[in-house]
Amino acid sequence: MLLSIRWLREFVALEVPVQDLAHRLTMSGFEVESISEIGPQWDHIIVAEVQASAQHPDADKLTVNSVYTGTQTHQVVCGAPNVRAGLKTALALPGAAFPDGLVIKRSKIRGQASEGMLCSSAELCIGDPDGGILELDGRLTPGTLLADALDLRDTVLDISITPNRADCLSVIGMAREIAALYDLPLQLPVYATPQGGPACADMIAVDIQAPDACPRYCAAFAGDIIIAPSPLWMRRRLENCGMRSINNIVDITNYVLLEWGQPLHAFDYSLLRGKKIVVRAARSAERFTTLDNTTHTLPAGALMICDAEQPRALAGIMGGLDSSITRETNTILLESAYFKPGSIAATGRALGIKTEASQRFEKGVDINGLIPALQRATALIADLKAGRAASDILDHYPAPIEAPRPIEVSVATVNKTLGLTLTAETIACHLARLHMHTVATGPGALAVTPPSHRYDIKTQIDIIEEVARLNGYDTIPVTYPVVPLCSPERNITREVGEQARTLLTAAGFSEVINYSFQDPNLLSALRISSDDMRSDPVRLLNPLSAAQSVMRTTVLGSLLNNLQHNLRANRCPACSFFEISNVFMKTPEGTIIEKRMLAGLTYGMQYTDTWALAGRDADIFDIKGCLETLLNGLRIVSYRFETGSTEAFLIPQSSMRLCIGDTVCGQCGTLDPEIAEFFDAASPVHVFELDFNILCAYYVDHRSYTPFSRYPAVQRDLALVIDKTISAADVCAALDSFKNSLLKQWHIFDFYQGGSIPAGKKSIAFRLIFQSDDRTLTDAEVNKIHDKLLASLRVQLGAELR
Amino acid sequence: MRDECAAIRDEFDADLQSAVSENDLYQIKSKYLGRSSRLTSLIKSLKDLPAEERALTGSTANALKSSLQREIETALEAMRLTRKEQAIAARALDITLPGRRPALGTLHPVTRVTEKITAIFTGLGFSVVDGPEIELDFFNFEALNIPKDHPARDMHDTFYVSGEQLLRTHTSPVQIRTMQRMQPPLRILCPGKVYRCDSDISHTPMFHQIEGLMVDTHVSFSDLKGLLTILIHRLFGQETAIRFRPSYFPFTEPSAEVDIQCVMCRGNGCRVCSGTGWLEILGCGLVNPVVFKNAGYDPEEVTGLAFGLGVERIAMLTYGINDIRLFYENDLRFLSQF
Ligand SMILES: [Zn+2]
Repeated sequence: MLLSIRWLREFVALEVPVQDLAHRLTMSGFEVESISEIGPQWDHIIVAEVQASAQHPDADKLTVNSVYTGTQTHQVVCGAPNVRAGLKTALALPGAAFPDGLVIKRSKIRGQASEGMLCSSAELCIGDPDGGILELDGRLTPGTLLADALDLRDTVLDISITPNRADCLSVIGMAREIAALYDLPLQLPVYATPQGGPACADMIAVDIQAPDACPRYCAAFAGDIIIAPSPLWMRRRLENCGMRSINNIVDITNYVLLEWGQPLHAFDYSLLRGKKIVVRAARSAERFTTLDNTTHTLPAGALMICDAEQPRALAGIMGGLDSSITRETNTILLESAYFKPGSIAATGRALGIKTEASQRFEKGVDINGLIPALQRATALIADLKAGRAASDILDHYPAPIEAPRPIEVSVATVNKTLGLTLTAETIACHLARLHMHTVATGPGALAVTPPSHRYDIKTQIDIIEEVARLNGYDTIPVTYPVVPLCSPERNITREVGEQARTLLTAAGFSEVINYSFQDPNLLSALRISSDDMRSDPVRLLNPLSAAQSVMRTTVLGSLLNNLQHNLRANRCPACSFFEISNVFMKTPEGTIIEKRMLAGLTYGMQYTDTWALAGRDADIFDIKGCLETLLNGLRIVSYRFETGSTEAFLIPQSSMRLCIGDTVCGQCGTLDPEIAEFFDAASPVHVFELDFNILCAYYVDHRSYTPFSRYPAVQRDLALVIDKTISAADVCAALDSFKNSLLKQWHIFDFYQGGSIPAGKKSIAFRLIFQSDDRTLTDAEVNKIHDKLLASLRVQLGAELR
Repeated sequence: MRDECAAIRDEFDADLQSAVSENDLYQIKSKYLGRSSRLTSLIKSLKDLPAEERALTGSTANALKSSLQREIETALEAMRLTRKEQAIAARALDITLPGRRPALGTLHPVTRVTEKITAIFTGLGFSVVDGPEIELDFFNFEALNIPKDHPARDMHDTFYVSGEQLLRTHTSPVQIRTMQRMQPPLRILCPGKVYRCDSDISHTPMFHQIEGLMVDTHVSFSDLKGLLTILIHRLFGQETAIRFRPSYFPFTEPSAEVDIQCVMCRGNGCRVCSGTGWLEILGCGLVNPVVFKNAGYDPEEVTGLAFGLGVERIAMLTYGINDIRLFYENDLRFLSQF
């Protein structure tokens, strides 16, 4: 909310510097977001008197003027028709800057020197843009700064008001709060009651058909209305507080709204039929055109202000197009009503309309503030000579809302809650500043009655907060909680997550985090088929854009986007990414399930070419190896890779399923080159995506020691030639099944096909380690096992020695 | 006999002089000190000499033998050293060349900050709890004292999936779920992704939050100040000035916003702190009794404190990141810095 300091000072005699006020407000829950000085923008603009005005020798529509500014005379070229000798106006001197970026310089206009610019009110942003240069009061002294001559200076605070403090969305509300903070009196003016004017009872009858949504409806009348611009001071105040000046009547309603926080609505009385105001709920699918010429289909229950025949306003939100004030308006009905917050909020949201009025009704206005607001408005109508206001105010309040009840407050609870040691007197004193009435009801017990504008105060804890605020949060000491020790609950998902991150970063993968939303087109780009659960993502009802309109069903798509970004923006020769995040699936029954996934991608050179190593493109075995390292690091033992993936986006011959126990944990493979190209990748892209919860389920935290042999190990190499159709995994399985306790370890150290190997065959070489737990093995012993192994491989696989 | 010794010495000197390899030296060694060398035979023949001459000649011959031995060893050692130096020189190692570096990935800055903060709180006995990201209106709003049409819903621009299901706007629903599952006392930390439909230079539609909740029989506002002081001092240093300002959250009362002295300008005022010298970093308060009631706790029996912070915000301040969108662009030039 924008708060004018000068306006504020009409109600509280505050003398502290603005900086001090801003700090005090911030520290009591009213964060001051900015402080703006009004005035410096007119620093080079002064009052000037046109002494002589002559036709420009070379331009029909221009004049050359001699302008006096107290000590000197300037020659100024002007194009305004109303420039004339004797006129007091505003002169922008060289250096003056305007909001549109124009900076005044000494110049020549069509050959005539011009030492400034005579300004219109529009150029100066001080009011009605009706053309011509400003015509100032003849009594002003030439040479005075315009800001001082017109009394334009002010300071405006931009204050963030929390939703619970709607009572402070007005000058008076803030004045009340500031008076409490500085312990100063709040000075509310008493307005003179206007004399004469029409009497309400003869003019209108109010019928509230929805008393729940509108418990009170007040109105006042003014006749002989003369629609005119408002005076400068009012226009300036409205504009400083972010409102546009329209005309005197509309400006008065807005002025009262800003000052009192009570929205008023002015109807053209002559357009209301049947001398009647009916407040009722909209009928289903009722239509209504608001004054911005938009026709709405109203939601059921929307509150309407109607005359005897038809709706005239959308209560608390916006007036209707055909009952608003025009230049011809003679008599107005000023409405000041209380509409229930929930009702206005629901209608406003359903229609997507937010107005100054609706925002205040939504948060709640003071039900006792309706009449003062009308009194202020009628007083202003009289002051501004905008019409003849009636003294009479109509107040339709059939079932007065109960006054706030006293709240029981225990001094001990206040102190225990805050960690303070306040006395009952101090507490009562703080609360009195907030217009809360406190009665001692026993030792250490208080009964506190909040004022009607503090409808946010309902329970003891609300009172405690107010005490803390007034006493100052900085007075509350810093203590440390004293609570029993306890053992935190284990969170396996996070534990495994941390380990997986460590293992993967050590393997060269960088962690990324992507939005959970995704472009639905990505799913077809990945050829996710329509019978796949992932093809039917959870859709957002209100996405920011189509590209972020569904929830991810796979993390891989995001990683491919990351790859594409880095290729485009960064021309990176290689990258390896991983992400651990949730994806969102819909079951056939429509239930949403969240599944944590671990996805990874590797692309490009495995090493940058260096003096020591030649770089090469990553291949499937790089990413497979990373997964093996990850699984080994997590001590997951029962895993195996099964040839061929079911993912359509992977190359069938270069992909596999990772199985752990009996479950398929995920897929791994090389991206189809066409899809890779779609993401701008020129070299092969290798990816994996695993169900993270399965990793967690098989993760082994336990470690145990097996004694190792102290006897020398014997190493033998075994190079086999086998049919191409036999896989390495088949040979490994055969080795696994060769149960001999002396064969301790083995690994594949060479793989070869072509060349000297016959067609249809391939060669795999194993390095075997033989070792006994209780003796040194002899060559003869090892040879025997070795031969037996070879014989068994011959039988099982038709393997031959190379 | 002594002439014989002198002759051996002369001959040896000449041979030693002309030796160019270790092999030469081994041959000299065997020629002069071997079993069939002249010196050895001379020493062997000493026993046939008369006693006094034996003594005299014996000492000369033995002195010669040990002298020759020493000289050969010295020459060998010198030769070995030269060979080693030559070998090293031949390899021509420039150890200023860079090493072979295994590739090393990096953790996302959001993860780093999350881990840092969770470590602080697990150290204080807090459990880390997770919850769903697609939430029910009840857990995200109703139970947290934000009924439908409550003005505080304006503070949360919510993504909806259906009438009742939404993307959680904060991780507070995890607090409600945990309170429904566990009896007090309670100390939990809820990190995770949250969503608001807001996207501009300072907002991303998804970001990360960490919320904490502590429920016990007597938790006060001064305890809240103490706990958060620990957090802030651990994150930003013991010297960091802190201030608590009244604020409003429907689920806490009294509520506060916590500012720290600006880490960029040390409180002198700069662009990051809009000249105020202070940076808002978290929101907190005592748990509103209504929330306890909604979660099935008796507000007469328990009190609690709660706080919440934005991980990206802390990361931006800690690492000097100036644009929140960088977190989700995942550019390697950004990621590799953490
Ligand atoms: Zn700063």
